[in-house]
Amino acid sequence: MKAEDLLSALSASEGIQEMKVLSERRVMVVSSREAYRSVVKCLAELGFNHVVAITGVDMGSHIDLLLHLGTSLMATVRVKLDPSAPKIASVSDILPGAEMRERELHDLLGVEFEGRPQLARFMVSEDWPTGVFPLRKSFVPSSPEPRRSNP
Amino acid sequence: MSSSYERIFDIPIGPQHPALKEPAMLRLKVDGEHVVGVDLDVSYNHRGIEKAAEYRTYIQNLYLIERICGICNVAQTLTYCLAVESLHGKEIPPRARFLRIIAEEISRINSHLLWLGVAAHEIGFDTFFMHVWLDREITLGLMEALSGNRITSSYNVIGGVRRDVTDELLARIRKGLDELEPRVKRYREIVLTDRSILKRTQGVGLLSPADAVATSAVGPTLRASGIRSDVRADDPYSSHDQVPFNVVASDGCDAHARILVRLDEILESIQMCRYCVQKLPSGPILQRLLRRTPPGEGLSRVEAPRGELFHYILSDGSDKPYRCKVSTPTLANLPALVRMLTSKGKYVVNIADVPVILASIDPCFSCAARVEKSGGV
Amino acid sequence: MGITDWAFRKSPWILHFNTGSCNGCDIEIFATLTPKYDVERLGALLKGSPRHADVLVVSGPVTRQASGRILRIYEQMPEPKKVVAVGTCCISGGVFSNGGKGPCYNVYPGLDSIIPVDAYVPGCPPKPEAIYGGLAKVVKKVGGEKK
Repeated sequence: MKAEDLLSALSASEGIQEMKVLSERRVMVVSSREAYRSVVKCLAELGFNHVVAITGVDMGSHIDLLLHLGTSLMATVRVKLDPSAPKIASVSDILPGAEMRERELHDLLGVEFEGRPQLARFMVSEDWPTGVFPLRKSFVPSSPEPRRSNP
Repeated sequence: MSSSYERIFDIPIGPQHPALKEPAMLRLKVDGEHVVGVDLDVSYNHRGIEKAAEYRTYIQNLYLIERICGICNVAQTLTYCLAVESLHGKEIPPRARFLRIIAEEISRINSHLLWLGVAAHEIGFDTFFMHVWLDREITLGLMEALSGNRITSSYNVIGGVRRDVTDELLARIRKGLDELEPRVKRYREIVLTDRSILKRTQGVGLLSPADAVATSAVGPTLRASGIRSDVRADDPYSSHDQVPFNVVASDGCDAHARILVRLDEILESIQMCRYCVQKLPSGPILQRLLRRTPPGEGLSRVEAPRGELFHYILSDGSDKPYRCKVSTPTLANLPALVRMLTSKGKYVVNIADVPVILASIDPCFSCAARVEKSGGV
Repeated sequence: MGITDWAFRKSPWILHFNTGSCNGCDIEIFATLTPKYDVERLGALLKGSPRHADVLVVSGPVTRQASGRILRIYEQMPEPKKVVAVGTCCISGGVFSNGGKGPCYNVYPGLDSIIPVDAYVPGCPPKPEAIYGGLAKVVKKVGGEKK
């Protein structure tokens, strides 16, 4: 599918705020938080059911969630989330490949995915403090202290 | 009368286990000899690389990204460089692009031979393991001649490649590939005819084409289920559209098909290297780029030996990236692994098959290091 | 030199544990077992259980999750035991700790912040000859030889 064909196929969808062709095989679709699931469903029906990655970026004023789909033409769905309470609908029932990536984002950025069983929270290690999300800009990395014995 | 709930108990495999080369915890739920579910924990390799990349310059990050995985280090640096170069918007010289393909394909041959030896070791065929790893020394020697180091080559740099090749080196590469090809063909014969390999890998680790597509599997795991999808053909990068090659796929859907797909890919890579060596264009090997990367988003993906590797770089115009995201093929194959390890209906997974199934997706948990804990799907 | 020291010097059995490595060092450790470098000349065999091992060969920067496990493995090994830290990451955290400037948050600055180490083999990754040499030096030290 060509980039222009994808744009015309999506132009009828509701909730899409912006669509842009970045290069020959890269398309960016900006969606509202409420329309995220319907946009993803629409893309999956058009043949974009291969999940490449889900990226989360802490931009300070908001958290950007990017879902990258597609084997040949890569379509990226971008959604802005509120950093104090980043919640969004899960798409792991439409795209099972998204399941583990949503869990990763949950642990590293604190994004909550609604509509899926919340599996027991297990941070980067058993003794990692709750509520500390390493990929947020407020977290400054440091090496752990040496230890000589198990607690 | 005992309920089936009481019959199921957990067997932990790992993090230290003779079958595992990397730390990982597989909590198998077994009913007698049959595995009915699995809990994967691959967080032992989590180092926090994506966060550390935000505190280092783009050039320093080359050496950090390279060490996400030593086996696919050429693919990692290649994807990173492609993402950064897309932000600069400058053309990379053709000679550099062909040299990148040579390094990439030698690294693919290396990785697949390594995997073949390890898979033979998991089956219990140590003689095969020793033979294959001895032949691997040929390609390690080529990598060392090309870049200066056997494993972590640091060959790709932002803007091109680090070292040029002489005619003697090209002749040496040709000679090494000529030595390797008949041996790989012999291994292919062994894999097709040896009864112990056939008994241990045929019908083991089944992944139907529908499951492979649904779980977004990548790489040889996907291609061994009949889906002809390869990033070099679907989304070509770095002059792959100028180098002829065949996408290798098989309809077997089991571990045996995955062995054959990887062996055939070695033969394809040998042909691609020969083509690049013969048609190497002349010219510069490096395009000088600014230290400060222009602001924007760079997305790139590459066919690493294990599958599709993806990098996302967000630049704010300074000399350090604002965000560097890496998505690795092993992470993409984990849902498929969980499906392969679950007995369902007529498809039965024995405990003894678990190391073979795990090895057949070519896991590189150090690549999948950003996942903390994943439950069965 | 008693019988245990003599047995140790003639056949050091190895246990390998990867504490979060990029696999570069692990591949070179396994290459040491293959015919070209052949560490079996020293009498070394790769074993599966800490109870059978004499020398613990560790690779990788120690991640938080792996630190508890490596302590437990070290405690399970019977005396006399030696530890060989293979690779720059194991010695100091390598490129991940970066000397404290923008370190990776999940990585300890070196294996000797967790367990005592007898030999350090630097390199990223060290060549199989270097790993072989490190193992040979550690084995020679058992039984009172100073070199």
